[in-house]
Amino acid sequence: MFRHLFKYNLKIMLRSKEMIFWTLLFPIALATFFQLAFSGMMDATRFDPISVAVVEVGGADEMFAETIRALSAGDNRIFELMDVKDEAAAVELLQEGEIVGFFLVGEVIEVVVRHSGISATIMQNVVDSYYQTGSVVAGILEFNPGALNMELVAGIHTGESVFQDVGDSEDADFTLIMFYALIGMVCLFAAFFGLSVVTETEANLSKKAARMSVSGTHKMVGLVVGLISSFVVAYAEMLILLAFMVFVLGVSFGSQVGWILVLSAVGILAGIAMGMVIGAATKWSDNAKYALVSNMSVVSAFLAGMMLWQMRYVIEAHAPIVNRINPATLITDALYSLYFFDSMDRYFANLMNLILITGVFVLIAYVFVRRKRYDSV
Amino acid sequence: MANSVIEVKDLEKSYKELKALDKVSFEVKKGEILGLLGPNGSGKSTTIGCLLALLKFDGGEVKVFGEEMTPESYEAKRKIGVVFQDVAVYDELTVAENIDYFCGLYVKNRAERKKCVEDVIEFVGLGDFKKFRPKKLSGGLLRRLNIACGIAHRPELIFMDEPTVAVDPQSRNNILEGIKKLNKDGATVVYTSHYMEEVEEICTRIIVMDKGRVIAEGTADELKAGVSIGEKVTVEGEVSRRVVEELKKLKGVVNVEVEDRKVEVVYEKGVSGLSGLVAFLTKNDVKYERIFSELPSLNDVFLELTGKELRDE
Ligand SMILES: Nc1ncnc2c1ncn2[C@@H]1O[C@H](COP(=O)(O)OP(=O)(O)OP(=O)(O)O)[C@@H](O)[C@H]1O
Ligand SMILES: [Mg+2]
Repeated sequence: MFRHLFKYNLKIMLRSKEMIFWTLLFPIALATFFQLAFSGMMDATRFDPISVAVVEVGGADEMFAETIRALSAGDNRIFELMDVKDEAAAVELLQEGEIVGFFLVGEVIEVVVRHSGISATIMQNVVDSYYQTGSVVAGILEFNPGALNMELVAGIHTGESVFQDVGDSEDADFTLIMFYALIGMVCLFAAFFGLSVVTETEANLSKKAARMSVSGTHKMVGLVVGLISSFVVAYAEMLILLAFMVFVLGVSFGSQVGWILVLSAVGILAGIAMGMVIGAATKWSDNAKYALVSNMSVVSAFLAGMMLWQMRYVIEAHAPIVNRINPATLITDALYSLYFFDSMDRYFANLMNLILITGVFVLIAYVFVRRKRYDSV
Repeated sequence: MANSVIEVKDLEKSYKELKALDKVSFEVKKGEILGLLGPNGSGKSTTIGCLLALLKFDGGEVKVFGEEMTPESYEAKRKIGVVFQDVAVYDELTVAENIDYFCGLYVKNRAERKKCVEDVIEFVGLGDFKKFRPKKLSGGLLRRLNIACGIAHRPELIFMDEPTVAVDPQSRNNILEGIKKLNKDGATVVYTSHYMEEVEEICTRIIVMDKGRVIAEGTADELKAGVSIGEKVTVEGEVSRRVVEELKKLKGVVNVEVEDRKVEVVYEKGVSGLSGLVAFLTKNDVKYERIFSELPSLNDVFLELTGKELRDE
């Protein structure tokens, strides 16, 4: 039975042109597009450090000045730090145009600038990021100062690419986040398969499923084999996409291949489970469900930074919970942390969340698929 | 009863407020072609859904092959073939693959299955289309494929829900002949339709349904015998008002209906009126183009039982 169902599931999936387009060709095209769009940008623009000053007043948080100092060192520094002795001196420099702005560090940290603009935004973002990451900054700083820079810079919208040396002088760029988010999207696209499996095994969702339900074969057998086949196809497509990104586009993923493969496997499971929930728990038309799956996947990836890598930092600032539960963000962040950090903690934290979310999806789906008789078919 | 294949007792089923089945009871005996005849929405498909343990129902009992039918009755399910009202096949698979796929849900042995698939393809006459995808098939051929997918595993009990809807006459005949043949080879068939001619042609027994109720049951002849009217003679031509009034007074005539150039004369049960009518028309110098007589049809049965026509075309 397994062989029979598996064989036909594969045939059906691989021959379904629309499905293959969305889950394989479209992501490859998108990745290629990203690469073309950013390859020029990466080399062309280098980042000019922003001249700033730090003014500490009563009750100042000394860690902050420390952080700015760290960000003002090295070849690819963000800031050019000017020494000032007090606020008046800083204001003077500001008026002379020597500095773009300064940080007024008291009970709270204020950013003082003459003009709003990109530089001002960067400064504000550094402050915001500092507040959010404050507690972990010290820890990271200790074993990987480069990472700290990355983290903080990541909160910045420059409209240009920023380079920082990471660990072993490898060039890092934030467009990687877009590729990672794309992988997140492709994982979620596995929801198309999950959706089609439930549709074809739940008798109230399609006549083909009704056929299976009245046959001599247990519906759950059909469902489980369907899910296995879906996973196999989706994972194979993922491997093709990863290979394409690495070998054709030259996207870097770091050296932790095994963990990348684990992550994408779990990501695909999350996608399949999401599709099952949409299929089993909602009562819309098939078309509406497919539209929902694709919209959810794309939006999820967008929030993770697929079109705009800064996106997830904007969300981190305004609705951090979204970043903890959005599957594409979890995938993106896990890949990103594999690449940028030596420690695996953050990777595992993301992976755990992803597994939890998958579990929740599976439970919800199970409540619906365990039915044996239906109110209507 | 020993040779009962299906026993349904007081089956009740509602969709929200709508009562779709109201105390439906009937029996299907081994070797029958039972016709479930009823207009659209009378509850035929719902009945089949309940019999197959696919639908929840509110009350009643369903026994198939002598045992209560449940979703877990795999033993029974393996001996049943179902052809649903709507075509359900995979567009991605060819004709032969579709049949093999569905047959494989019942028949595990590959050699045996291969034979089943070949035979059924022959049976429904899709030999030239084995490698076609369903999208390339005409409506009638698609229906035949749908049927083939439901019966390839040689079931003992076959449910067919309106398999001839929207089918060309050739495919329709092919399907009806096929059902008779399956029956001759030993299958018990439950056949639903709202085409009375079909039901009359192939079914050994008929259950007439309306609004979720069984309103009559018997062979076509038995059902027709229960109707109070007899022969119906239709005259096409110029018939004057006076003649119509005269007609109404003729012995044995229960009703006369005029529609344009068509006059329908309905006789009492047991009265044969054609020859008398011809004589009457000649005597009254009526010119007519056509005259023909019909015995009561299942439509009349239905009309009499419910006050409405069964036909919806
Ligand atoms: N899923 C459903 N939800 C609500 N009402 C339904 C549903 N399915 C059928 N009905 C209603 O139940 C009644 C019986 O429907 P059913 O499909 O059993 O009739 P049918 O005899 O098979 O008709 P048809 O010839 O159109 O196939 C109809 O009034 C129909 O509108
Ligand atoms: Mg029906």
